[in-house]
Amino acid sequence: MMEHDLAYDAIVIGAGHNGLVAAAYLAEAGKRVLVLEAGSDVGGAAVTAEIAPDYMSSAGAHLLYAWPQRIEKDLKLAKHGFEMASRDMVTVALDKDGKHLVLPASSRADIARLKDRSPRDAEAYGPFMKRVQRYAGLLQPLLEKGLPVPGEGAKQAATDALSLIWRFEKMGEEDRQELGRFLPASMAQVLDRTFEDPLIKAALAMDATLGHHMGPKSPGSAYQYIYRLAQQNIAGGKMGYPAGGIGALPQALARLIGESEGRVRTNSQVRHILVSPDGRTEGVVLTDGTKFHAPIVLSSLDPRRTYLDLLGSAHLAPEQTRRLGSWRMQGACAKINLALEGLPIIEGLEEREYGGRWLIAPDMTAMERAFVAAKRNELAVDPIMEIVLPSYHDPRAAPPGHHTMSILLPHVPYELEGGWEARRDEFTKRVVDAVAVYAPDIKIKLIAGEILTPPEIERRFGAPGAGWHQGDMSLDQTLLFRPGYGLSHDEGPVEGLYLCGSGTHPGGGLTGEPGRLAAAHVLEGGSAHV
Amino acid sequence: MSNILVRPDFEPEHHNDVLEKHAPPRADLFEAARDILPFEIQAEPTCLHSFAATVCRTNEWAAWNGYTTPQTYVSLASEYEALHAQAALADMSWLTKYRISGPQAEEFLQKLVTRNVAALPVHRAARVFFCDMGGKIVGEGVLFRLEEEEYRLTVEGNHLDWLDATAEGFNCAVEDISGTLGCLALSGPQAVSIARQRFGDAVAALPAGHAVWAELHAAPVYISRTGSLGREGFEIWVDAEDAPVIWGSLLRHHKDLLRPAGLAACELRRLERGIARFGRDYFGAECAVDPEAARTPYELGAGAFVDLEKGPFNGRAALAKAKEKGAEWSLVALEVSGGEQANFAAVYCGDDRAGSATSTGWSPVLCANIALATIRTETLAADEGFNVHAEFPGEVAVRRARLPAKIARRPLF
Repeated sequence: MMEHDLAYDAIVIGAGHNGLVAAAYLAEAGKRVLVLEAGSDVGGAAVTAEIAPDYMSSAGAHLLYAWPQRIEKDLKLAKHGFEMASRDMVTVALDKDGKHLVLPASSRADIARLKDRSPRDAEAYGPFMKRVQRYAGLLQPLLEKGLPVPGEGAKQAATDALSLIWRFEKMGEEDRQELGRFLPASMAQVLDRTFEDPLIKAALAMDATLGHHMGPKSPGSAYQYIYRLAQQNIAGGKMGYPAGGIGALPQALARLIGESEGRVRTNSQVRHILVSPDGRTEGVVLTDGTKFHAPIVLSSLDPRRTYLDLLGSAHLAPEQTRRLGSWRMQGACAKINLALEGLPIIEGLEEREYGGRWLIAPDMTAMERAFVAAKRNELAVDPIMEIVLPSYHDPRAAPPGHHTMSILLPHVPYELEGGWEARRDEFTKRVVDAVAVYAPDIKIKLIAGEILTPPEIERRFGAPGAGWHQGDMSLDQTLLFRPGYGLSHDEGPVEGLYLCGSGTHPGGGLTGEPGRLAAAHVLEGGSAHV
Repeated sequence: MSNILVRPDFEPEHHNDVLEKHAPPRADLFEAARDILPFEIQAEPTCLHSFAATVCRTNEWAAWNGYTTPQTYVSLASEYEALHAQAALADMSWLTKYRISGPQAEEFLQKLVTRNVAALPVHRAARVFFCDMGGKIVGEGVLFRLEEEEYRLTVEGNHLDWLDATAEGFNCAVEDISGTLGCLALSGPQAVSIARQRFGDAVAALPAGHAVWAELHAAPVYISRTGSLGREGFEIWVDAEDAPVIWGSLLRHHKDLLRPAGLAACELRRLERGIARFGRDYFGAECAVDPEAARTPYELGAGAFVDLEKGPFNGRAALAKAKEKGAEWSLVALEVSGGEQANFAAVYCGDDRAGSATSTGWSPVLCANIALATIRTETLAADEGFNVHAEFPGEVAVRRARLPAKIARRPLF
């Protein structure tokens, strides 16, 4: 006899945001679902943690740039204590001389600022955004649903393809040609054709390279830009910050699962996935030997760990082993969280802009240099940064009048020449110095800080390669190729096993979409097994 | 160890450069070479090359599986006769050979091939197929179990990459030992008696598919009752260094009974045995440009080599579906009437095209044109008989005729 609490309708491996979203959808549909998390807390890289006593920051991911309101509504997250502190964050590209840029430049004041820097760019900005939005619009429907598998659902695939062709045709000759040049191009090529101001170019190029193993001059970075735009459009187009920090989101999802027929079990590392002799998923075994049974297993871990480590290549076809062997997971980042005695003063910054997403990237050359340095396992001379002040949105994050600062650093080498242990202080100092160029008082106000180097990010959040995508988002690793035929959440190598993490369609970022689509697929196609 | 994947001599332009320095080549000089794609240019000798060359009177050579091997030694007729009436010795060292060893060699092979490897005892051989995810054949060969944890897989073509990808996650080693292992096929009605004289009763009494270690001139040889040349056949597996000794000794001591046989005679004998050849009678899944051109074991009539019940293996799900659906194509042996050698390729059912013949030949012993052909399965049930449009090459004119053909049981002879 099987113990009741060891048998479930579905098991989700990993309590990152995608695993929890998948579990929450299944729990909402009345399934008994068990979430197994290796760490001691839920959230994966979406956690709120203490920098120093009373100073809280989003330890890993630090803003919701493409979090779909649809998921919030579907799961009625507000009922489970989730609320947004801010839903309309702007991007502020910081300028050394105080002539900062605000994007998206929608208000008259923002456009005036742009005009002040370059009248030509102010004119070019509107048409450029319209154009890239049209491209994103072409991609968007592909990201909103599971991609069809050849064979089964071929009719749907044909319909989708026809719809895509029709929309492509409708774009007009000029746009089509332009798109053909755009997709394989580098963001620098695209932006150099359109703009002259280095700051706006850098700010736009940031969205094309952040989190990717790419500099603005890398071919294919333009595709990353429209991919991110499409993801943002699905989410509603606005960036936001949750009350209680990013960690509040997985907490709310976990509450939802706990209040329904589900269960979230932390400190439970899965050793391997159980497969029946006839090639069906049966459940999982933990490292402590505990077995849990379920006909459906969803893994939010990256494809390589899921299939090669947990399932074992004995269950894979050689084609699949080859594919997983060449799966690239690069784009390492580092994180620095600071506790401050007061608001850092930045010259020329308006009050509301302190709640924005600050970019420190003076021009594309600096960005490219940072990327090249990372490629050579070196530290950038001028680090590129994305900064958020969690305490600005959420006063509970710091004592009254005090603040916390969350700094995300892309283009940081995973393996550093000389070793991270020996050079972490040097790196921190370099970053603080670079921030001080814009906010000179930061060194006086600094009380405490923590740094998460790429190897620490990988260890702490289970983020392979210290990136947040579980696999580069290049053309050959997105859409149907994420992670490859017969490996995605539609149809795994063994029946009943689904991927639900960033390593599957529609990819990385704090979107919850891979989780939602995997759950939808289980509920539609896999309902017979549940 | 020489691995035929690595060919240091692979520099097609190199020779042209040297020639051009001296004199412009004749326009037609490379006419013949032009049809050969660069990756097909082969010159690797087998371990018996120089010894075979001394007895190869015709000096006709064929490139086969990356090696050069005699097409005929003296004449096709005499070698064919030896295979049927006396005994023939053929150099099969051009086979690709893999050594698979390790604690999980059996698990790996279970995943690789469609047959149940657990049921293969030590010193036994079995014909095996390996398929891709779609159930299409990637390669086929003969698998020997040498020891509990050591196997040898002999195939045509290069499959090391595929084997490596499949071996991922298994505690076993896959090595290409083609260059260090020679293979001599001893075949024909007198083969058993020769084997008895030279290797003893134990070898002569080997049942089909069995193998045993023996010794000749103090060289260890592994002898198996396998091969595609006939029922009374042995394959002698021996170190590449020792192979010439065995080759010379056998030919010398039995010169009244035993002749060397070239590829042409062996191919004709294979055709009479009705054995489809990988790469010729069907394409491997990894070589076929059109995936439809690749075949499942069911389409080859080799369904008995697929064990769907043995546990997971590459292509099982697709093969289960293919079995249920039934084979769209069937590989069959054809016997074509007409008293002389004819050329043909297309096979018709009535007036409709049914398929293609991939290997054809004139069998003197059957006094008939025989062929291996791939035809649509549905035509097998048709009332109308098969026919081929044959051509008889004359000195100047070509005669054409429509010849009736019938499906023949394999082996044909």
